[in-house]
Order: sequence, then structure tokens, then C-alpha cells
Amino acid sequence: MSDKTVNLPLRAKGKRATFYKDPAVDQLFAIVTMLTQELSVAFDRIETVERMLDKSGVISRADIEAYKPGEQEEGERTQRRDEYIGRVFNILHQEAASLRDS
Amino acid sequence: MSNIRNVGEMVEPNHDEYNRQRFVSILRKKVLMDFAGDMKTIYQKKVEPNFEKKHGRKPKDGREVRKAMLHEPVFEGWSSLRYNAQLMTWWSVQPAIERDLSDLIQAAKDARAANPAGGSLELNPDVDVPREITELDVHLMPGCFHTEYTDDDVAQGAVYHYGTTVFSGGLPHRRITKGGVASSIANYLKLAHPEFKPKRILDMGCTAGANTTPYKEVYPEAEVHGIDVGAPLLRFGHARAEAEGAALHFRQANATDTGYPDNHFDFITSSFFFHEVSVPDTKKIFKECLRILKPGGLMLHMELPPSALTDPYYNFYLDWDAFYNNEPHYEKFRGLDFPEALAECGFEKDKQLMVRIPNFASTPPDEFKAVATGGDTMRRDHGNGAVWFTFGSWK
Ligand SMILES: C[S@@+](CC[C@H](N)C(=O)[O-])C[C@H]1O[C@@H](n2cnc3c(N)ncnc32)[C@H](O)[C@@H]1O
Repeated sequence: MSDKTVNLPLRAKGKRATFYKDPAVDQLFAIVTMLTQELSVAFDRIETVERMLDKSGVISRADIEAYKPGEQEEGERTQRRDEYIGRVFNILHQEAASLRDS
Repeated sequence: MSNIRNVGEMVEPNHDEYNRQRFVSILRKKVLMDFAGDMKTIYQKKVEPNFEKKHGRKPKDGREVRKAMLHEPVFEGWSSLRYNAQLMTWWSVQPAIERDLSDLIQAAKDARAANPAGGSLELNPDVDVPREITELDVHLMPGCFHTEYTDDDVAQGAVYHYGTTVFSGGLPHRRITKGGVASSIANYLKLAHPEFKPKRILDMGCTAGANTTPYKEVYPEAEVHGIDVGAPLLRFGHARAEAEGAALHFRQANATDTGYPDNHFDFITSSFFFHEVSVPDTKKIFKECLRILKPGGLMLHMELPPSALTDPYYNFYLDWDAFYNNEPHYEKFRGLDFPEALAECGFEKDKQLMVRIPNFASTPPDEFKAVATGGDTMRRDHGNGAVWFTFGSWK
């Protein structure tokens, strides 16, 4: 078997549908929908953490308020934020990607 | 049970990926149930009355409803959400599949080598893949049904399998959605035609076999076959069936020209298949079914109801996919005169049938039985919570 990593494409072949007179509105709609998803995921993660903390009873909310990430951790967070923004604004990238493909 | 890993269960999304999937499932439920209800209300309370004032009559078909709705903010917003949710469905499962792909491929190869259930997989790289599949990503699924990214690839099978779980994961009856059509048809046939005991069954456009498996469960003695043009789907479907102990025979073939001998099958079926096929190919496939069906055999396909049988608003609603979901043949297919088209291809009119079959798993057993043994169902909404439209013919 070949062990090259496969990157599955994000763009669906065919013309992207538009529903508004100004296609910019369609783009914005896509962005907002993705953003809503990410926010929902973030709530889920926070809820997971809060519930686990609650169960174990070892960390108080005051501890959380006072927390400061270290340098390496800040790097990891930066990486995560970078990928996050890439996902949310993916539609801007897609047009460029389709031009590159053609 | 074998100890082959089940490709249908082994992909594990991480915490955020899982929650992205849950979000999409719930978003789709909101769109298809709650917001669709809002859109219909706006149509009934505002758009249709305005149309009547202007034209002195109600819209006569789905096209006219569409024209009246096209620039309504609710249609624009609803469509945007639905369209984005469709794309996000596939995106939500891709990262975990990418990560696990080499494991999935290995598991599929193991399944093929051990073949514990005794099914089979026959691939033919020279098969003719229709243009509507190679030129457009159907259902907006990037890579469509046929693309292969690496040797022995199963990626698109996995994207379809896991994606469709997300797709319907927020809808009622979600636990029974996989195979819902086939289990309904098979259980209907058993009750409606107890004397009919098919020995050889064919499912056309079987994709990853979700609606092939139930035939083997209801008719365990039968030899059950599935054909499709997409190799990664068939590899995935075969591997999943073997891991689950179902002996199914998967073959890569075009339904217009299957290569099976004449008079070969007792029962030929399909689900969600013809609306993705062009009308000329649909007719070729009907003729091919007639050729490979045994005399006395039955052909019964599940599809969307033809537009002649549904009201203008519902036609507008169902035909959304034709415009925005890369399913260009959808509207033309639904516009066909089914009895005429079947007759034109050699199926005698007095042997044809069109039946609405209630969804087996969500219908009370007494009601299901009553419909199968002579009654009609009053249920009309198409889909898992309701009723499947089927059409076909005896030979
Ligand atoms: C929407 S899917 C069917 C879903 C499937 N029956 C199920 O219930 O899960 C349509 C399938 O038909 C296949 N297909 C399209 N045209 C075909 C043809 N001419 N011959 C064989 N398969 C075809 C596609 O590759 C795709 O897998």
C-alpha cells in the first residue's frame, strides 16, 4: 500500500450556488454558518471541561480566572486559532483554489 | 462473528470533530423541519395569496411556486443554510477519515482476503462512469462517488457512509435510517406477496450497500447482489458487509449494460437511484432490467414521487435538489409519466405497480400490515418518518 497522505478535497465540483443578488452575501452567509458551528463546538468543549472539573472537584473558577498560558502553550493556541480562522473563512480560499485548479 | 475490523465503525472523530458533526446534524434538522415549516407558512400566508391576487388563480406547478419564492428572504436564507449544511456534512467527516485512511484501507483488504461471510467483490476499472458523476460532485460531496486518491482506496465510501450518518443524525428515527428503504420494501413484499420467494436479488446503484443488506436479512436464502460504478464505495460496502457477517456480492458495473445473462434475477430494485440518472439512461436501464429479470420476476424501485402525484408547493420543495444539490436530472425524472415510460421499455401496463410503502421501522406493525395486505396509506410525506414511493412491474 502507498503511505502517502491523502488530502480529501473541500470543494464540490460544479458551480457554487448563489441565492442573493450580490454573491458577497452568499459568501458572508457561508462564513457566518461556519462561525456558528465553531462557536457551538467551543461551547461543547467548555462544557466538557467544566463538567469534568466539577466532578473531580479539584479546580475552582478562581483558578481558571487566574490562569496564564506558558510560551509553548501559547504557541499551540496560536496554531489552533490559525486553523480555526482558516476553516471559518474557507470560502475566500475556495475561490482562489478553484482558479488555481483551472 | 469474525475479528475483521469493521470499516463502518472504526473511524473515531476527536472531541471537536464529533461536536462539529453533531452541530451539522442538528442544523439540518432545524433547516428541514423547523425552518422549512416557517417557509411554508410564509408561502401559504403571503406568497400564495399575493400570487392569487395578481393572477386570479393559484400557482399551477412547482416552477411557478419557485418563481414566486425565489427572491423571498426566507427562501434565500433557508436555501443558504441548507446549502451550507450540505457541504458541512461532508467536511465534518473528512478529517477523521483522512487520518484513519490507511487503517481503513488495510481493514478492507483484510476483509477481502479473509472474506468470512462469503460475499464477493468484483471490480472493473474499465467501467463506463456516467458524465454527470465525473463532471459534477453529486450531493455536493467533494470527490463524488468514483474518485480514487490512492491504491485500494475506500475514502469516498467512508465519506458517504459516515457523512450520511451525520446527514440524518438530527432527524427523528435516526437510528434506523441506514437501510430504511430496503427493510421497508423487503418486509412489505413478504406480507403482500408471501408466495414470492426471490432466489436472486439485484440492487442497482447500491453505493456502500446500506440498502442492499436488509434483503439478505429478510430473504436469508437469497443470493444478494449490488452494482455501482464507484469502486471506493464497493470496496467499503463489501468490507463492511463481511465484518457484519452479510454475504453480499458487489460488482462494479454500469446499470445500462450490466453484463448479466438474460432472465437472471427474481427481483431487481434500487433506492434513490433513478433521479440521478438522465432520462435516456433511465430508459436504457428499464430495458436492461427487463432483459435480466426472470419471467414472473419483480422489478420495484424506490424513488421520489413523480411530480404528477404531489402538489405544486411540494414539487417546488423537492425540486430544490435539482437546482442546488448537483442533481441535474432530478426534475426531469420526476416529470416522467412513469407508466408510459415503463410501457415504452416493454413492461406491460397491467403488470405494473406503484406503491407507497410506509417506513417499516417507524410505522406501527398493524398499520404496516394493513397497508401491505390491501389498504392504501394515508401518509404522504416522503422519507424515513413517513412513506417510500415505489414503482415497477412484474415480468
Ligand atoms: C444516491 S446513490 C444511491 C444510494 C443507495 N442506493 C443507498 O440507498 O444508500 C446513487 C448511486 O448510483 C450510482 N450510479 C449512478 N449512475 C449509475 C449507473 N449508470 N450505473 C450504476 N451505478 C450508477 C452512483 O455511483 C451512486 O452510488
